[in-house]
Amino acid sequence: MITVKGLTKVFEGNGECIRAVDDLSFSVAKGEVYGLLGPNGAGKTTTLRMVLGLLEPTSGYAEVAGFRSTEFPNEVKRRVGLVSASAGLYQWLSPREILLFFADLYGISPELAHQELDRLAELFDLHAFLDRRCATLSTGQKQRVQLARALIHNPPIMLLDEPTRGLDVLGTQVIFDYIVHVRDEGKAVIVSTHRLDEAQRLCDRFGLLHQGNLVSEGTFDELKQESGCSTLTEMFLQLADVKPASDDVQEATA
Amino acid sequence: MTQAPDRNDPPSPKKLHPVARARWLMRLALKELKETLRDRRTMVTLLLMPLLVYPLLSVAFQKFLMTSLSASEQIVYNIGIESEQAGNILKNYLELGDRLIKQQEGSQGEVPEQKGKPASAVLGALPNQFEPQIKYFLAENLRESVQSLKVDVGVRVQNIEKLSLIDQQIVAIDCELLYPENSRLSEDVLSYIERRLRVVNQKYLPQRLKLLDVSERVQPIKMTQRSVESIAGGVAGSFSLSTLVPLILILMTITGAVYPAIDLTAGERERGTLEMLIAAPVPRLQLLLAKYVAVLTVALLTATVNLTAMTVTIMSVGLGSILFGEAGLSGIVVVQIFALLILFAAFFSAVLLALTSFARSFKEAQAYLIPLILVSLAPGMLSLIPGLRLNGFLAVMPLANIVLLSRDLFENSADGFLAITVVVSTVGYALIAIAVAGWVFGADAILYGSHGSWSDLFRKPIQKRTAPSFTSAMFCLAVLFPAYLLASNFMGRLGDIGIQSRLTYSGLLTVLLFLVLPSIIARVNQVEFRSTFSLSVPKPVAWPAAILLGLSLWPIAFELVIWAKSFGVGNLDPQFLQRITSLLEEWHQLSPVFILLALAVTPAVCEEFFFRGYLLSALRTRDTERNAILLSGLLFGLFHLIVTDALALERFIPSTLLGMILGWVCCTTGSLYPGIVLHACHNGFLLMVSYYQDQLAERGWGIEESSHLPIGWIVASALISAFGLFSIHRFTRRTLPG
Repeated sequence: MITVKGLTKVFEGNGECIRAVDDLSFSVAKGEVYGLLGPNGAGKTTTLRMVLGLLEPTSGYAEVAGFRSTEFPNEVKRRVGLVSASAGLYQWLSPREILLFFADLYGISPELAHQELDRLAELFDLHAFLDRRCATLSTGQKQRVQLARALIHNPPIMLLDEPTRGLDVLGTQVIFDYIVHVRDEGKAVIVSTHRLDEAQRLCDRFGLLHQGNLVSEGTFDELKQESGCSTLTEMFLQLADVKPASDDVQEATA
Repeated sequence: MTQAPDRNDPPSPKKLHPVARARWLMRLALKELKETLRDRRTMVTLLLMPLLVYPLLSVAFQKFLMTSLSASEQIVYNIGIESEQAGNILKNYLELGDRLIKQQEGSQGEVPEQKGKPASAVLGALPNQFEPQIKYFLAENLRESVQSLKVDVGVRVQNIEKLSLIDQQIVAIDCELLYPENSRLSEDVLSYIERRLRVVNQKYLPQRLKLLDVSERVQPIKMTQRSVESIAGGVAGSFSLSTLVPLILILMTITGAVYPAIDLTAGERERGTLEMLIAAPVPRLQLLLAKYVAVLTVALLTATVNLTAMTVTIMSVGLGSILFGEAGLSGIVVVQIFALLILFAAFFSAVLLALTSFARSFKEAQAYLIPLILVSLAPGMLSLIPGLRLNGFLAVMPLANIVLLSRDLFENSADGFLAITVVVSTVGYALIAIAVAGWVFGADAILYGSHGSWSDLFRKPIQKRTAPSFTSAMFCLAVLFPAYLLASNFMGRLGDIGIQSRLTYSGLLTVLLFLVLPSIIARVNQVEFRSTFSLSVPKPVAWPAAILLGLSLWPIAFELVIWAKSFGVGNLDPQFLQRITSLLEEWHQLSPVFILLALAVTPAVCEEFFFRGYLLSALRTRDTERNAILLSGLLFGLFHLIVTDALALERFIPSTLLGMILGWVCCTTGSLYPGIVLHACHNGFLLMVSYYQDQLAERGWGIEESSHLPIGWIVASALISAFGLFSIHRFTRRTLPG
């Protein structure tokens, strides 16, 4: 469903060049949850933005359902649901209005949009506050609205950027249930996070990003075998510290 | 490349039927509107402000009029008369009339002075304080005195004869009252005299009727009125108050549109909703159109509320006749003004969105808007100048055109052709602004700030760059235009310094601004000179091709000017043409070599250095080569229109076209030099034709300013130009460095 090949992004500004993402390659299949892991500034968000066609890669490409994000950004966008921790809601609108607005943006007919709205309200238990102004909602309620918003057009692919950032235990559990739900629906999912423990519980395969490079990639067992460590955190520290980044890139892309 | 998607895809907006598509767009706009109208801050500017502002303004206006009238010692009415005898008779009758009026008022209670007249409406609260002082002036030529506003009203007293009453004899006169048009004060004086003389007639009427001799006249005074066209500079008095009203309405419409424009663009980013919006499969221009509809609607709502509040205030306070003359504020005028406000709101909403789309936060958007509002005040203020008439140039000047047209509508003096020009130009500006906004809104530079900011201008980069940044080029342009304009005006004020010094000064200015300034900025920003200014040697064919083009393009440019003039574009001020002619005479004191150096070679080198060097390379970093050429050509044309051609509109098209050709030559040959040669040949040839025009005319080669060139010349010119362009395209194409 998702193929990323040699994806590179160089930012120029303030008189310097920053390689935010460097020659990244990986793929995600239907019904698979792929964890893009790394510390802050590793290039996770930039990668997701390039996959979705929001940022143009300096080189390389990302393909979603066979469409290159640089050539057919709208075809890609129609197939992707984006959940981002940094996303906000329209304070003066109600969740119902927001969900119907996004349904409109994705070209869903009003009838179908209302059906989807009912389904998602049921799924995320939104009924109690569906017609309240978003400014008056709690953090947890806002999060549920965001999750529903990403699914209103029933996309086959989900991108989740730091979905648990700033959430308490209950909020995090909602996200876990959400990811399990979308995986069960057969969607291809990429989750970017720096919470390695969470990723370990959720993802089928992992890509460890460090300074824009893919340091290591595989299932948990494969990574365990490769590193000899028992947890992702240990693995990551070891891989990031022991191997110089440039060597890893060559390995990862070979 | 494509493969079957996993699920039935929802129809994309592109596949929708036009009606469904319009509905879809309206639904998007409705969301924006809901979001804005539910915000209390919008409601404050939309409803509260106008409801408070107009009543307060009218109270302040009344207070001002009252205090200024009572504070001033006394209002003086100047009446012109032709002889002392006439003056005495008139004076006696006016005083008699005054006494009679006071007697009437004394017996009937306090009747306001000049009921229904403008001043009395406001001065209802101060009944008898208004006591004008009457001054009489002897004028030999009464008509001229009225025309030049030396007197407010001239009274020509004729046919003086004795008239018998029952017990006394009085003097009968015929009065012709001369008054200037468009003077509020004169109208007041006129009604002052009329009322008093009428009262006198009324007093003697019963006595005359008793005599009942129909062959004799009944009334002692016969009055006629004659208006006189004023020659004392347009509208008499200070300035027309009716100009102030559209200006206030426009400013209030601006206040209504500012907040939603910021909130729906920069606000999206600040709230973190912009990324989700851009992640949807909708072209950015469509998202922006929905926002535009919302901003426009709020602006129109504000305009409606303002217009209603203003109309109600004016009606209820009775300011109508003061602001809009005898007829007051008519329904048609209100409708016309509302139509103009729609036009203005359409234009200004687009400009606001274009500007706020650049901003990444509320703060940044406000910083952008303050200069815009200050800039918009300038043409607004300009239109308050008394006697300023809407003309071809002002009709295309944003904001000023709408204010002036509104004023003309209020005064019932709008010109149909100019009104259409105002509408068409404003719609054009609005479309350009929407296109810019659509291009900028949600661009990744704004979304993620990846392109840097204005602060990059002053930061020295670590690595050398092959081309200047777009920001620095715009900065350079922003410094260059006003600096050149100011320096040129300064040169104009130097007085008679001689043609040689003038040309030297102008040449130095060109070098300083077009050569030195971009070089300094390029140096500071560590930009490579060779690649930026295309300083490589072109293929040999480029040289003759450039010379051919330089010598053959002028007939086409000349025809374009004639063509533009035939459409009524840019009729030059005759004074300007006279100046040019006298300048041409002065030229003959100088050697042709000096003229060529100062007016052909220097501008060619310097302008190419900036427009095709610095600016074009910067534009190419942002857009395709074609668009960069088009935009740089447009800016070149604008520069010549605004700065060097004294707003000669007909020069805009040929200058822009030349700019585009020069841009194409630079990009194709990869070198700045052929362009310099082309530019210098073009300027030089035209200069020499002007310099030797007498000699050319003697040989039958004269060129008339306003007639077409022989068709043979145009065909030959087109063929040679085409050959030049083909040679460059075919034989000199090369890859540009960087």
